[in-house]
Amino acid sequence: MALLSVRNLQTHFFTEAGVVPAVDDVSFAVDRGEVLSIVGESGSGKSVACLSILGLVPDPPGRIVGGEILFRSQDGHEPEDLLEVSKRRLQQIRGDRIAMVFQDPMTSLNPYLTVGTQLVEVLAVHQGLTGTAARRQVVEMLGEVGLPAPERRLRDYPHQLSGGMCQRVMIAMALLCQPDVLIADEPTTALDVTIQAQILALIDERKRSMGLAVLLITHDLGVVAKMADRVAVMVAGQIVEQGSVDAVFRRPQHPYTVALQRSIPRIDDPPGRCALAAIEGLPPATGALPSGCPFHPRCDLAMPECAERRPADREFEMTLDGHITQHRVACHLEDLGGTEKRSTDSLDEEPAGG
Amino acid sequence: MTSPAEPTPHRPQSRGSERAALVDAEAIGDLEQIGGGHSLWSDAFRRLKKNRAALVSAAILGAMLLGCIVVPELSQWDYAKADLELGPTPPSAGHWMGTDYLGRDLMVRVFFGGRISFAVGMIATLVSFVIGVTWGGIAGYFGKRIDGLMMRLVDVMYTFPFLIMVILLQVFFANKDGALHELFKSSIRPFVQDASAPSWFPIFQICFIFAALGSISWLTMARIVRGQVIALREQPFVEAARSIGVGHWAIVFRHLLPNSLGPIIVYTTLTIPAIMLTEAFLSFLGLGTQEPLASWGLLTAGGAETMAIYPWLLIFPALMLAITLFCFNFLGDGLRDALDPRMRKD
Repeated sequence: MALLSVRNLQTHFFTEAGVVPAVDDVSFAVDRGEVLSIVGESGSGKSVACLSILGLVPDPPGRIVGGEILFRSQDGHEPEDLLEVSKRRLQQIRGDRIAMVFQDPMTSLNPYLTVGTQLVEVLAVHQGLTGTAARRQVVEMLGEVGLPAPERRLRDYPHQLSGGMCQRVMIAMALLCQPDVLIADEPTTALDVTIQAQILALIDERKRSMGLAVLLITHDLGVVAKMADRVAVMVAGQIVEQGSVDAVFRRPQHPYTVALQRSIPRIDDPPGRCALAAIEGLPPATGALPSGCPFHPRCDLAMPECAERRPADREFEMTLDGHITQHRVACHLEDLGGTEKRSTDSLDEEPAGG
Repeated sequence: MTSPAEPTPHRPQSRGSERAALVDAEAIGDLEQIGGGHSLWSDAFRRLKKNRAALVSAAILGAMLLGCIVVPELSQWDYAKADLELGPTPPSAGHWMGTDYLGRDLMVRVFFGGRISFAVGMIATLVSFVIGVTWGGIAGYFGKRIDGLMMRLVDVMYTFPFLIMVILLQVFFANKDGALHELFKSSIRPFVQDASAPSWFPIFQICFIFAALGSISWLTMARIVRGQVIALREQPFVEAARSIGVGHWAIVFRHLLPNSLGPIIVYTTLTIPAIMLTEAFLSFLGLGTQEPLASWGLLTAGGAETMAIYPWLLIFPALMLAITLFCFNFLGDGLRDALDPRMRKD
């Protein structure tokens, strides 16, 4: 079994306008030395899914109403269900076994405490380590994440650092206790491109050298292509497609994934094709999620069935370059869902409405 | 030819390395404080030292406090002993601030009154800091039912008409035979020889005023802090702190409350004068400090009655009160700036 596996997670928001299923029956798993990327448009529930893992969903209005989150903190031990463990145990796991990096590094650090104080706090909370020993470890970790002159940075306040430096501090904070899982919620969205590459390289290096499992939330498909081993595509609180990064990029099975890829401008596009292929319509409003398949109102291939019934997950093996990879897709278009038939091109020729 | 040119390239170099060495030494020195959670305060103190107005204010306040403690003890005059033959006299070599209508030395009375005024201000501030900040911080952070319960209690206390409350309590419970006086007597009995002596009654009355002022001083503070904390708890850094496993109490006291220090301090600097003035008002009504004890409020109120004839009776206590309030405001301003790391100019 995987290091961390989320099964049938349901996180609902109970608002005055009604119940919003922000995460609706979502399952995924991530193992040591693996990067699972969750992609999806804004409001698709990818952040909420990850906050649910650490029990950080704001309550009210959010509440986890179903599913299980199995985490194996030590090899050979029985996995714990993070939804069942005590608050105390969850607090021990946070930051120690499962750490998180947030989108905006500038606001994720307390403006009133020095960087050093905040980093030492992690060690104080989890290992009871303070004083010189803690500082030494902090300085070492800051050096490892590539912060120049780490000793001097300790006494700086967050506003004295650049965004990239802050994100390095956040990553150092997350990695201080050598966690098993790193949840990175759009870790590079707020950074410029060169810093972005450095931060991603840092995470990638940790994955390779320490066997860190990474849950990478992003809406940047370029980041996904560079970093991920496997990809899960989310639409309106549901995972519609999940598979290896090669399979999802080269043989997307779900119409949403196909559309998503077409909407990315390519540098080698023929010059005549200037208009971007945007996905028609708007993402569903959180208060009014469509019935059936969450993508059907915007889907070119929608059938009457799509509006009535939510498609079940279909799992199958896909052969790609001689490798067999597991793939999972939730779509009623069974006839297209074969192993080899479907590709971007074949979808282009498909008459609308299937 | 070469000798005059030689020092030029050297000087900036040596100065640069010197500065680098200085920074390093400073950095190493500060490392000692990191991890103890005191870095905010030590940094604030370092920044405060650069603020001249705040420093001067702190010095004046310190001198004033010292004067209040020392002057009545060292002076040859007594704050209570009347000299009816002397009567009111303007400032002179013997009585630097003059004497009042009973011939008592005004300077001793002013400094003696300062004890009570400072004590009232300090106690009210302490109460509003300890109870108000904690109360508001907890209510704001935990929210939901806890917040509702705690803040409704504050609302209820707000609705008590303070003055009527104090008068009623004074009349029914804080008179010589009242329950509160009995409570006071039994609580000081282990420490003093004669708890029933009439000389303790004025002290009891002052304690009663302390308690009354303390009980209202924290209400507004609780509301202000609660509002601050509610705004702050949605900040990403709180979520980030939670994600590294920091507990609720540590988040309230280490992360949220230090972030609300600005408004807390500003409000405190407003509280101290307001409380001193309230005490003056109560004393004026005969509910607080009673003759022959003195407070700045009482002296000012008394002086105002006769200011046309004996102006020094108003000028000196009012001057002391004004200087103190000025200094508290400057110090509060400086503290607020010093406690905000982003205000650093360098």
